[in-house]
Amino acid sequence: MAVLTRISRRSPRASRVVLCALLVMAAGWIVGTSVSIAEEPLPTEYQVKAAFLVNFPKYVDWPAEVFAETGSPIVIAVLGESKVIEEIQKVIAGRTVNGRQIVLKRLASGEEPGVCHVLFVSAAEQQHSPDLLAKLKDASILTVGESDDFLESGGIINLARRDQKIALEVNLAAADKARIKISSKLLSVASVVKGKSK
Amino acid sequence: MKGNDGGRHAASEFDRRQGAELEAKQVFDQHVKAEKAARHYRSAPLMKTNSPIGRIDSGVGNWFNQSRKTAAFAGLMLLVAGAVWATDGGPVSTNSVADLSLEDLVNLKVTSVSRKEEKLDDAAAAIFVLGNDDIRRSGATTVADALRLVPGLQVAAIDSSDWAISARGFNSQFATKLLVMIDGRSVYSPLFSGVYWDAQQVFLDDVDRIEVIRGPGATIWGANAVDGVISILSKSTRDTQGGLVYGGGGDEHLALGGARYGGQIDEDTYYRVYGMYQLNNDFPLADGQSADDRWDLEQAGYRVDHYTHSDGQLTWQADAYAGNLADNTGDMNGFNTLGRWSRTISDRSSYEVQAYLDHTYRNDSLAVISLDTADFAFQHTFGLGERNDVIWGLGYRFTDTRFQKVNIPGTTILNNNIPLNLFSAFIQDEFKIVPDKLTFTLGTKIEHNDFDGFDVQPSARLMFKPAENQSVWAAVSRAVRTPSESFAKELGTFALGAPVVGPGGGLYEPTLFPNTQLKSEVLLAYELGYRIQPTHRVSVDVATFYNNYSRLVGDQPGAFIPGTPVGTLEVDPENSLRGQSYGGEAVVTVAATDFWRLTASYSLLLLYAQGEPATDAKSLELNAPTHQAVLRSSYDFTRHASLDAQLRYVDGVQSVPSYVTADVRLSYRPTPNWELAVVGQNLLDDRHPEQASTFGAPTVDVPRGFYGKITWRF
Repeated sequence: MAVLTRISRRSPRASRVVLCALLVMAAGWIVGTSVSIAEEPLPTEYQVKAAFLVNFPKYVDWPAEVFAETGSPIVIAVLGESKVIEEIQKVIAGRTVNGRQIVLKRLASGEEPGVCHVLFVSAAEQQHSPDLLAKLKDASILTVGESDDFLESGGIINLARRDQKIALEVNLAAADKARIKISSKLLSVASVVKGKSK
Repeated sequence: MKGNDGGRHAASEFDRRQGAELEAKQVFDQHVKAEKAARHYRSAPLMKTNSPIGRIDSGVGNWFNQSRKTAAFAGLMLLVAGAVWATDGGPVSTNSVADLSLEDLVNLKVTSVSRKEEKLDDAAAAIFVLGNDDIRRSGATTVADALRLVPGLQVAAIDSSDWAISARGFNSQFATKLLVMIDGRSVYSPLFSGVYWDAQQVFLDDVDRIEVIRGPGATIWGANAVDGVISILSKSTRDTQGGLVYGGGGDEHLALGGARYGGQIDEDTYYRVYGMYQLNNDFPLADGQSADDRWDLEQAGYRVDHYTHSDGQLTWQADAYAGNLADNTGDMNGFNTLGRWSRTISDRSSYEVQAYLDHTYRNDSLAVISLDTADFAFQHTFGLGERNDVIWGLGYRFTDTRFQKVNIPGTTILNNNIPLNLFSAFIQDEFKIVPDKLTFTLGTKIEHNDFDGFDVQPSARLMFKPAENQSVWAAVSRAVRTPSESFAKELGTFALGAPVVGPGGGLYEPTLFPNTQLKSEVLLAYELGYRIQPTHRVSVDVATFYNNYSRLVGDQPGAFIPGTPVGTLEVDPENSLRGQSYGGEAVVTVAATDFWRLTASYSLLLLYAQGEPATDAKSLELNAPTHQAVLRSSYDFTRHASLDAQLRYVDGVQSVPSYVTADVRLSYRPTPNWELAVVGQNLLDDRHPEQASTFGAPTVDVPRGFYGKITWRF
């Protein structure tokens, strides 16, 4: 009797397993199709931010003394964990600006930046940025952030996510203080320019 | 030149002001950050197919074991397959982006990685989010205690290791109508229809947030998400790099210790490993004697995240724990492993595949049970035209419950092994009637289980934003609670209490018999909510509800079966009760100054039940506090020291009177890497009861306690 019950129950269960397998296969098919019909993926936010960071040296003039010698590299420092690190690593190989190599320097949370020319303060480090920026305001470092109040805290450039694009916001007063000259080309594409001199 | 000087002057003035306000600013930023974290939540559910009860099979056998393995294997295979597919989509050449001009860069569209994150203000549901900072500042050492901060949740300690937690009523140790998930893995036990809170611990410093929905979430999450859903989400390993070690102890939390280390395997792959231990002291009984409920738990686990260049993320995590219960008279252990592959295909389209295995063993004063679960889920989101966003998914879950022993006298096990299958599918469309103003969401979940076949759980939600700082929402939804296996399955008969005098003057022991005809309990919920942020320092969130329950389970006395020395009074669970509840929750958050934040919340709950037996109906009415209020203050003296306090009022429940109590936490951070904290819990009286035991055991009191904790990050 028990055996009978077992056998009779076996077939609906088996059919459920088949149904399950079909569902799984259907799911797989949809995944497959979605991938194949998807257009070329758009770049990620951090690919674009990395592109900005490695391009800024072309549009910025530092006081001569920040470079130890003519061939000294341009140091881009990234403070805190950020996806931008890997993206920068991918594009700096062999890249030069005015004959200077570009070097990436990673800084742990709260670490002093030391010698660098561009400093990216990741969103994760946002809470430390007012402190840090106050400390760095006279150093000739192009500070770049990605938070709403970065410019108010004394940062020079903010890479702001605006809908689907990355907008450039510049604080000229802070740049002046750091004795960094920003080219008009960069300013012309910035969506916000604060502390503009007449 | 003059202009330049002027600019400089203004700048230095600006900088000076900033300098003076620096400390304040830093402290405020922390608040803002916490606030921001709290204001975002994942609206599109990630693999939240979590109804733990599925199909019932009375057959036992080897076949079943095979089926379990097959299910697990199929899930894992699919995961791998998903991964293989997804890596096909080639990344955009990073170099080509870096070679674009500035002009092109500012005009370049990027993928929306935060696509699924929606502002809290836009959610057409009563949702509250506890951020990492909130949890740390609460001084809670367990997930259950951290939930005391959530407005509208009822959290009551039954003893040192058991909690009754629910939303909007029906609270007991087996709060049947609340679904709980940790990183997408359901921890709701189908056997008793509830959650063993002592076994649900996470490394609290690595928790990103705890999302709590009051009200039904069944359209997405499935059965048992009747009165609420709690989702505990840990941080990605990318956000927990480096080391963290903590240690401490006190008179109630005798010992606390843990360590985590996060590192990188290669440039796209991150990991973390952790281990932790806690030992908690006995609580007292009303007469001051020990309740002998001391317990401990040791747990370890890891998580690995791999990011692809095409917005894909592969996650693999596992945890294992073991602990002693009730002063070493009971024990528990378990392990789980979960894999998830998610990928954003385009701006509005993404998919996710998830599979997990979970093993739970528990030997306590009630029973020795083990539960194995294999779960697979798939989910796909896509845009349909300009205004429709569709999300749909499929799920399968297999659970195997083994009843090894029952420790309640007078109990017979009829069947000690119960395999269950659950199939589910859901679809939901979000239609923007007027973009940014008016959104209508309609969806349903369809599940199949063997208790009552198909369950349909639809919901309709409307969100209206009259202004940027205000929103009004309304919802109508249906949700079901599948009866627990022990009731609906021919599992055994359970002695309910002392013998009663029956016909002819003989003694009869009331015994609960299974009822395989039991149907799911049904809720029809009507909700209305309003949120406003009158200034940037104040936010107000009000949610109201009217719930109509039908087919609630009551225990009907049946036949008297003679026997020696005592007969048996058959008690049958039946869908013989119905109920209505209404009430609401209001939360006001005020950032009074840059370094002081206050949160006040009040919840009201009125519940009425009718049907047979009348005593059960009455008991349901008394199962939740009518009034609850929480006042919470977070104050930063400097950026090195902070003081947090919470004051809680909870109305009477059953035989337990109302109480007021307070927790205080003082924290000192001499450097960013070190934190010293002193915490006082339940400070306003020596001890008080919070919830009576479900099984007639003496009520245990919750005592005042203190502990200290040191945390080091490196």
